[in-house]
Parts: sequence; structure tokens; C-alpha cells
Amino acid sequence: MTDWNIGTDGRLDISRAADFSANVSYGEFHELLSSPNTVGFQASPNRDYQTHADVTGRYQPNRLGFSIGGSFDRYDWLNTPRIGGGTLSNTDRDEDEFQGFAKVSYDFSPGYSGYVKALYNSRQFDQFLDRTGVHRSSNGYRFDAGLTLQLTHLLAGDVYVGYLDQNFAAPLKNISGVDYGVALDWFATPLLTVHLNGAHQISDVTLGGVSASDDKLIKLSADYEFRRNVIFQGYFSYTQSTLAGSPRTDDYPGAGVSVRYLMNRYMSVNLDYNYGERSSNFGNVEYTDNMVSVGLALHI
Amino acid sequence: MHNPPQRVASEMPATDEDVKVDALTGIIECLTLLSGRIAGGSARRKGGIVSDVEGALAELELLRRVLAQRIAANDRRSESLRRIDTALDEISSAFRGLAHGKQRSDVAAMAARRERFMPGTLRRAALLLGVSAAGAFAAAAPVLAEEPTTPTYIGMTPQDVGVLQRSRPEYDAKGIPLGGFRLFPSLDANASYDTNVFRAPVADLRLVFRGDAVAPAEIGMGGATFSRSMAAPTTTTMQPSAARI
Repeated sequence: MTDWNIGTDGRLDISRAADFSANVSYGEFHELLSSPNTVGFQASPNRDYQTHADVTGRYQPNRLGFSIGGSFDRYDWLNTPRIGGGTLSNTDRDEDEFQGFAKVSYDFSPGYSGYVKALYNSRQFDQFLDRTGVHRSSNGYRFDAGLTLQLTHLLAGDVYVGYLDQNFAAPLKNISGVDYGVALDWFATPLLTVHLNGAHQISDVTLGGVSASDDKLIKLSADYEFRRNVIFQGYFSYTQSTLAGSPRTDDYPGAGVSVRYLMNRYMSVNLDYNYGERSSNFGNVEYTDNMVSVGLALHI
Repeated sequence: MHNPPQRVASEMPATDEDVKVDALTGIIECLTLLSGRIAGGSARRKGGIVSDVEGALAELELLRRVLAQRIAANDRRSESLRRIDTALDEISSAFRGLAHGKQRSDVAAMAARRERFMPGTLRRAALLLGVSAAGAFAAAAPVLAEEPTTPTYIGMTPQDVGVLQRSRPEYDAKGIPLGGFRLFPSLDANASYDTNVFRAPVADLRLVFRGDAVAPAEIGMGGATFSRSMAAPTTTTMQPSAARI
């Protein structure tokens, strides 16, 4: 399978205190076979075309800063080949997603910037009813308070916590709860960088009676520079997916190691091992997976 | 957010002589930083010295970027500026050798190597920059005599740059000049052995191949007041395959 994308981005510096940035892209992508949207008789992963555009304006005349922005995403799903012939229609998954945000930040001391952020989103499906006979369009909001920090020269990143709410049309169940996110880098030594990432995401699904997948993710990873051109990487990850409207809850623990050898300015090779697993309180969906990959990257 | 601060257009030197002085000053600062760290190396962590060398490399890379912009802006000066760029490239290579030497050897060996390295580097830099070697040593002497305490970064050290984010000039793609744009095409291809391609409860072994290609580009217009980047259409050479094992 082939994924591709094309895009452009830019930034206009209006003054020292204000700038405006934008980004647009278009591409073809595939959905992981581990997705709950994958059905058993698919001959290949689901594929879609994605159109993305976002704009952000920022103004920070002093310690106090303001930013507003918005984004648009369009998903056009392709029919999926079925084992034994024929295709599976995914037209009911075609949708537009709009998001807008406003953020106020304050640099209250060197290395620390606190902020509050409000986000609104609207997800509008082309078809009023999907394959299971429900209307999946929804809208939601998030209110977050966070901290962008740099503790000495060892720890830097961003953490936030807040509240989220995603509303669906009946009979689909609304989703609400604690919103959170973390993206921290620990520069343990000049040769070792450790990352901690986490997020709370709401992902649309096609399962009957399920409004969305309520995903809570956490990932710990590290990069080690064994030589200047030899880099080892490793990670542990854990995702808990609750299918809202269903008693089903899936757990996705994962781990992996890789080594990347930078050969020259034009070429690098990598060797990866990844372990994935799904455990569930729902029968016959559990799996384990081991994957070894070798890769070649060419660039000019 | 962890990258070293970038120089802006207003800080660019205005003349060839300014370019030379700026380049030489940068080299001296880098050597000063390095020599001080090496001199005190026995009391420092081994990794810290390597980090300082990388900081010097990052500074040199910034200088090279400034030079590249000036070469693009004025063809008449390009030959002179290209010689300086070549000098900086050679010095960067020497620094990299020093860094790798440190990773393999102890502080004493590093210090011994420094004694051979620094005068030769300054002499070569002076020659290529068109200034006298004596003048270069004279300019460098008071700086080299001082114990360096502050890196050239403000509020940041090379350690603040993650392993994957730091600059590796000898391995990073240079891109293809495309008018005011610079194109960075890339092509990735992977072959995987998967014990459960369809994530079935019973393992199903398959061999698959996968590839990706991206080609981002950047453009700079009118100093540093506006910039944008673009990605061009790309081709991929992926060979979909699902040969059952």
C-alpha cells in the first residue's frame, strides 16, 4: 500500500509581537488494521483521502499572549476490497470536521508559561444515517489549563488538564470527562533523551450503538545516540479505548525497539521490532502481534 | 522549542569583511568553548564534552546558513563567500572527528589531540578567510586564555536539544535549490515480517512491504519577514505484496 501527501505551510510575521500562520495538506492514508472499524472479511486496510487546513493568529506584546485559530478536515473514504471479491462501502464515513480555539497565556517567570485554552469542534457526516442507522454528527468542546515549562536544562515540555464534552444525537451516548495532555522531554544526558507523551482523544467509529472510541493514551520513549550516526530508540505505550454506548473496553499495550544507522547525507537504514496486543472484555477481538521491519530512507 | 535560537536577517553582516570577521569570531568562540571544556574535562562528565563539541558544530552550522543566504543574495561575492563556506565545512569536519575521538578515548587523549588540532585549524581558517595567521592567533590569544563560562546560547545549552532534533550537518539532507524554494524530497521503503497482519485472534503470518515518500520545501522572501514551505508531489516505489509464509 502507498500513502502519500502534499502540503504547504507558512508564517507571516506582522510585527515582533504578532504573527499569522497557516497550513494546508492533502493526501491518501490508511487506517490501521488494529482499528475497531476493521471488519473480519476485509482484504486490506480501509483507506481515505484527507484534506486539512488550519490557521493561527498570535499576539504577545508582553508577558501576556493571545492566540486564536481554526482548522478544517475533510475525510473521503474509499471502498475496501473484501476477501472473496466485492467491496465494502465506507461512504457513510465521509465527513467534515471543524475546530476552533482561543488561548491566553502568561509568562509568569523565566521558563514557565501558564495558559488557558478553549476549543470547540463540529463533526458533520455527509450521510444523515450511517450503515447502522444512526446519525453520527456531533459537536463538542474542551476547556484546558496548562503549563509550558523548562525546568533547568533537563526537563522541557507542555502539560495540561481540563474538561471535555462531546455531544451526539440520540440514541448515541455523549462523552465527557477529564481532558489531559502531556508532552515532556527529559534530556537525561547529551546522548539520551526520554519522552513522555499522553493525550485523551475521541475517535469516530462505525460500530453499531457506539458513539465514538474514548481513547486515553500514554507513551514513554527514549532516544539514545550510541554513535553520532547510530541511534537506538525504544518505547512502551498503553492505550485504553472505551467504546461509548457499549460495555466493551479494549486495552492496547505496546512496546518496540529500533536502531537507525545514518549512512551519509543521502541514505539511512533502520531495523525495528514492535510488539502489539489488544485485550478486551469483548470476546473474539483479542490479538497479539509481532513485527520486524527493515527500512531504507533516501533523501537529498 | 528546543532548537538553538536562529539568527535573523538584521544580524547578518553587511560586507564581505564583516562576513569574514563574523566567521572568524564564530570559529574562535567555538574553539574557545571547546578548549575550555576539554581543559576541565577531567572533572566533567564525558558526555558533557561531546555536548560542547556539538554546540560548536551547531554554531558553525548557523554561520554556514548565514553564508548560504548571502551567497544566494549576491552572486558577485559568491566565490569569496563559498571559500569561507568551504573553510567552515572543513572545520566542522575536524570538530566532528574530535567529537568522535572523545567518544572513543579518554580525556587525556582528547587534550593531546587538541594540542595538534587547534593551531592547525586556526591557521587554515585564517588562510582561507584571507587574514593573516599571526593576526588570527593574536585575536584568538586573549580569548583562548580566558576560562569560558557561558555558552553562546542565551538561556539554552546544546543539552537542551534532543537526540533526534539536533543538527547533524554531515548526515542531514541539503535539499535542492528551486528558485527561492528549497526542496527536500525523501523516499522511505520498509519490508516487514508480521506474525498477525489482520490482527486476528489466531496468528496469521504474512510478509508485507510498505513505503512512504514526502518532499517538503521551504522558501524565504525579503529577509526574514515572510516565509513559507511547500511539499511537492512525490512518487513512491512501494511494492504491495502479501506473500503468505
